[in-house]
Amino acid sequence: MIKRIHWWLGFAMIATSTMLPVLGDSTRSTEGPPITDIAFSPDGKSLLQCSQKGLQIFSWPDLKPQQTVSVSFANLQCLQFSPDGKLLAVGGGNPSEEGLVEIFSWPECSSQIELSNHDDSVLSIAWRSNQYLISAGLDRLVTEWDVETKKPIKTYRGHSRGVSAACILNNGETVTAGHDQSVRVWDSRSGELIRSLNQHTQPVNSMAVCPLSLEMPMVATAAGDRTIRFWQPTIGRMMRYIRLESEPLDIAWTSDSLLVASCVDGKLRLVDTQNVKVLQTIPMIKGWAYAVAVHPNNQDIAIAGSEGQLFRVTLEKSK
Amino acid sequence: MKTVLLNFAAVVVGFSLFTGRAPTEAPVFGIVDKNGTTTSHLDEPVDFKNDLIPMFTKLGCNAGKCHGSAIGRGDFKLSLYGGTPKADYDEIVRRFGGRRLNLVDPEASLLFLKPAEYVGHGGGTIIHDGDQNARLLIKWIKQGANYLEQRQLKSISVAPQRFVAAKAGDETSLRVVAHYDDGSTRDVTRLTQFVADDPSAVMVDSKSATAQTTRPGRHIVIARYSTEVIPIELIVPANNIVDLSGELRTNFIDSEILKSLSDLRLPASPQVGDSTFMRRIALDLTGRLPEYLAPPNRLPLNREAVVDDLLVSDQFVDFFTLKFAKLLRIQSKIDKNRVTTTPQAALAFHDWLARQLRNGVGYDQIAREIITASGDSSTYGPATFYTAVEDARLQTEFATEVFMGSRMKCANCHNHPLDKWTQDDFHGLTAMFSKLTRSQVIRFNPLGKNIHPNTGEAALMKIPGGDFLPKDTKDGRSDFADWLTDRENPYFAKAIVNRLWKSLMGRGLVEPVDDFRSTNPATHPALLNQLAKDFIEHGYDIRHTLKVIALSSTYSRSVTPVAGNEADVRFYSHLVKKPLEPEVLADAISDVLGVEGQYGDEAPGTRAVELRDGSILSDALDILGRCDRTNSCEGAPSPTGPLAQKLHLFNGTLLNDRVGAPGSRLDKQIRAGKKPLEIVREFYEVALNRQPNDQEVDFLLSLFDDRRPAALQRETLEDFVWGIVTCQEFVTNH
Repeated sequence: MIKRIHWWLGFAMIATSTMLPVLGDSTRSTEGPPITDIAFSPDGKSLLQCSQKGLQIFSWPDLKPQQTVSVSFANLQCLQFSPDGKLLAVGGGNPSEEGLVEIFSWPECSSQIELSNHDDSVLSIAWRSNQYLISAGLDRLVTEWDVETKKPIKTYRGHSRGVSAACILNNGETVTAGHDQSVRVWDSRSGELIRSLNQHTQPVNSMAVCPLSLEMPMVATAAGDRTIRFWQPTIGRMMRYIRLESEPLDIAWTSDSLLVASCVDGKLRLVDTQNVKVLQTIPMIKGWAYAVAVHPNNQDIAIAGSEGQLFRVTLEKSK
Repeated sequence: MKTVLLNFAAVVVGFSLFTGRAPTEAPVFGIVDKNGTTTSHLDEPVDFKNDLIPMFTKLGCNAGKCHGSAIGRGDFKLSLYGGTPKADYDEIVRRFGGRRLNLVDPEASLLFLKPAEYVGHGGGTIIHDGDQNARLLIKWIKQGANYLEQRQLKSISVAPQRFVAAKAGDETSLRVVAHYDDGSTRDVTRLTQFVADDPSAVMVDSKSATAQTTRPGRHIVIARYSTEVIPIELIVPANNIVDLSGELRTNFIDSEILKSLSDLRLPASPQVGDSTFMRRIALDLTGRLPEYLAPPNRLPLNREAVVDDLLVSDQFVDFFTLKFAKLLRIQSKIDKNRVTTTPQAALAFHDWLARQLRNGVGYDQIAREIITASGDSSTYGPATFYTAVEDARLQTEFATEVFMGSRMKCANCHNHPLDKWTQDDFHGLTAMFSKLTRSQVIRFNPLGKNIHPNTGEAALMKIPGGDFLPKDTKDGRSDFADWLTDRENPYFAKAIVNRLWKSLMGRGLVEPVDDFRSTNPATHPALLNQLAKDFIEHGYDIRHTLKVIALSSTYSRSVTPVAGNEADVRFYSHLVKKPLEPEVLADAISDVLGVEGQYGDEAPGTRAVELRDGSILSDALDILGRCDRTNSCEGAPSPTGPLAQKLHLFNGTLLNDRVGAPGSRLDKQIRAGKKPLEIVREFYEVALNRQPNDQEVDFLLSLFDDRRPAALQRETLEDFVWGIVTCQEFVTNH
């Protein structure tokens, strides 16, 4: 038996299910521009969100506003903490003009550097280490930066449309995915394409590396064809896939066998990745749910989307 | 970032009387509710569907060559002409994290910066700071960029819908009013796109909403607002003085035709004589040259009796079975990788059609039996309808083309841009056809489904333009047949009478005949309605409608223009010459030459018109341009024919081996010792249904000289016969 409670616009709702327990007890609705990405601070005490209003920081779990940080560009698209948690990279840009990454110190939130070589918005960021970072943009370009020198050290060229997602595997290979429906694996040393995986039939929206797949890296990709596909990119194998009822916009792993997806219909879906089944579908956002993030405790989830809506959900084990 | 100062200038509120002269910029008027109270448009929130989408259409943003193309442009895809506003809203407001709008700083929105070209835009500068479009766009973003549809559009009306100019160069203002489901109306002229069918004949100024004609004729301007399109007819009379009061009016056809000729000030060509009429009607109803009757026997001709005789003849059944066989693409095709029609199935369908025509079965019954057909196609002909094409989607295109005269193909991928058909219509009908096995035996397959491309789910069965069928419907084809053959169906009867009209008159009232849509109006809409009504009232009787057309004075007009109607090809001031169909021409050549054609393994003496399978091998028919029946056979034939055909007629074996062949007509006459003039006269009678005139006789006799060797004389005669069967008078019906 589960209970879920969420508050939004003064409206209380209770839902029950026999599947995974979910408890949500906080929400913020700012009635503003859409929240395009969210991230938990490394210590789990803050939640960061980006939108056209800038970078906003809330306390967790009570979601009280703590700080709004001014960013040097108008459209913010993505957030990513460095592995040591001392730097926060914010990606975005001015649409159709330039794509930028601004790096802030954490938790001071003072601007450190700005990286710019994109002609359109940066949609995804991935840190290789505390010194090297990859930015992927709508201009089809994927750039690897040395944040100490502020110089691009490598570009990965091959996507025929915008690149929406990037990640680094534990073997060092770079994986990107984009609106050309492809998932591409790159040699990080040479910058050359190793393989292109073309099973998606619509643009790829998001990608997430499975946190516990130690032997053979595994990533999940979510796309406009309403599928989430699970890959072993180092050998170019698509392991399995699941087709959802609605297009997934963002995905995040909570464990090696459970993944959460935020979808176009505003719902959060809990996916059993081993058996490729949707365990639970939870209405959350009125509009599109652009972003989902899993708390370091692997139990709390934040989901955000249209009109500045932001929700907290807690997963609990079945009794 | 540029800051844009927006000046919401006052706009005129309320309706002004239509004056015939346009202001310099068509104003935006207010909403008039059902009680007549006017509300300023500025007072209302911007309506995404009724304000913004039409604006995008008018600016060309969602046209096929721009973001309305199948894959969009520049990673920005809109539905063609705004056919699916909700998808467009998501694309504009939500896709890519909402990057196209800046809700914090609306003037910094990409949706404004691009078309205003503050940021590079492949389509150039579409809107300008401060103009009405920019103001509307920014106002909407400032209001929160909501999906608002305050009222449902029911229809639009245009004033004037028909404009008769006094002379070329006259212009008219155009006004468009939208009618909504809550009873309110609104002048939407400024948001309406006007496109001239022939831009060289009508100049449209979209800004002032005026149309100026540049030359005489009947011209069409299409007005498009939201999902509604409506044609505006502009008539510019010719510079003639015309009195048609003395023209013969046999039936309602003549009244309508003469009315339009009068409007256009086009004179009518005279009626043809009995000889020409006889050849014309015989070829049109039976596909055969008439028997020549010498003058004492043929005058005066009782035309009604002639028509009646032809309509009950076996030759009529043969010829119209051929016509319907082409329409229904009857031919055997055997390919292990494709849907197969066996020779037995092709014959069964052909023979079934012939029986229906011979027995005078109503066309509604014929259509119903074909649409609902199931069973073994090798013994039950109508089932072959479902093996003519490869899959259910092609079946939808095929069925609607045949029975509705509509090209629904576009609606496979997007709502039809020029018609009312939606993707739901297309895939709803396809859902019915997808529940059939497509093999020799056509049977219901409950597992068959058609995946709707928009939803990725099985499409629900739907009557085109109508309701979805209940989910538990098994075979929806009988529902489709009921709807199609209903007396009130707006397509079925018109589609067939238009085809019958074309078969006799050479041009459809709607042309092409398989392209009925509101943006392709009939040249004579009232006549088309009346023909369809008359057809229905007479039990969907094909013979009846053919007779009505054949006995009209319009049908009896000469093909020769008179001064003032030379350029007319659409209004029936004179008839147009029709190339003989390949099968008819092949038979006519055989008849004139006196040498039978050979078609595949068919028995000697079989006529091309009688062939029961369109795939029977025949070089002669291929040379003459027969349709291969894998696609529609209704494309307009080239008036001159393809080059290869011409070359074959000039020096190919089709004629050269047969003109003077042993046993041919010419050979027999020469052997019988006939004089050249006698031979000339016989060929004129057989081929052209007339005697040569004095000038022709003089010319032809000058070619012959009895003193020459017989071989040379024969050669000249062969040249004469060749000339007869290749001349325009022979290869056309006129």
